[in-house]
Amino acid sequence: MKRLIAAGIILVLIIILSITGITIINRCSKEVEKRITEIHNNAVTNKNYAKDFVSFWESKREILAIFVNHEEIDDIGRVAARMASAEKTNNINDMLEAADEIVFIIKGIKEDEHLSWFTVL
Amino acid sequence: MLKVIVRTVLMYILVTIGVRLMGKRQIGDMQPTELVITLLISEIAAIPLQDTSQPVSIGLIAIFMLVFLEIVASIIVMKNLRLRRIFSGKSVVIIKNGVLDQKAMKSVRMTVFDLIEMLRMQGYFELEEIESAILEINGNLSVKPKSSFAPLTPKDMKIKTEENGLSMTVISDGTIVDAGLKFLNKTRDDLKIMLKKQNLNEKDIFVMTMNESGEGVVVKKEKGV
Repeated sequence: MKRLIAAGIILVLIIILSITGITIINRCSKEVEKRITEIHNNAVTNKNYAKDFVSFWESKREILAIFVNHEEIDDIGRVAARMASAEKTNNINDMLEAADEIVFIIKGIKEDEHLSWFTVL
Repeated sequence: MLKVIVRTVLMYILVTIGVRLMGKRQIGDMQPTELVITLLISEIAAIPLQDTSQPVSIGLIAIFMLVFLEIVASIIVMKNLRLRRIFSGKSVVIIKNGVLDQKAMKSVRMTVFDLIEMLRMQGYFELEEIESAILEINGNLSVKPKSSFAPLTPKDMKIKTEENGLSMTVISDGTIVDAGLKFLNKTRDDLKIMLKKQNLNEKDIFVMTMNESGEGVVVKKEKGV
């Protein structure tokens, strides 16, 4: 009975940890996609969206690092810095290219958490 | 570098908790499923230590999922004999009534040299001494010698003996072991009275064992050790 209780507690902890991880990744991914859409829509008017994105990403790094490969987090950080720099120099094409790259990486992270034959096998 | 140290400490604690939850078994006594789980846990625990870009939570979830599966498997195996055979296998009789079962040896891929070596490890140097030998699930060989080769016991000699019960350690390196006393239904006060009678102090004792009749062995600490 004692071992059964231990097994039950372990299972609950695993489920809580997994659901928390998936929820955080999904929320963050949604926010990233929303912000990137804003950048796309306002690329010409240039309203410091990319700069804001960098600060947003810095604030999310620590919590994401608990569940996501740190290299992928660094990749997004690096591309976001490139995007902010392109925004500063009014290089719209480079900025949008970096924005698309961020969406691509974050979608990859999100898809990695989905249960499918592709991710399992 | 510091994060490697912290991660190592963290993984050490978590793996120790996981292994303790699985239950007490020595590597040699492990069932096949336990061995698989132990090997997998050691591999998984190494990943976040070697690759610091991997989050510790990935290893944590995998390790505790394995521990969970092992506990559930052990509970199922205890309740269901058929599943026990599937998960753990079954014991194989290698020698029956003094006759070697060559078919059984072939089925477990055991050579004569393996058998002789295992028998030697049990203290039997001749095949003719053995009445039965069973290869257990954990890989150990259980041996029953022929009655003519079995060790002489007080019962054979019709000598009356008394049962003294299990002997427990009650003092280890000057420290009273409460678990041992509790097992023997004794208290610290009982022990101190006993020590006083023998003019001993617990701090001077290296090891003291006691059985249920209150008899035991005392080894005093060596000076300067």
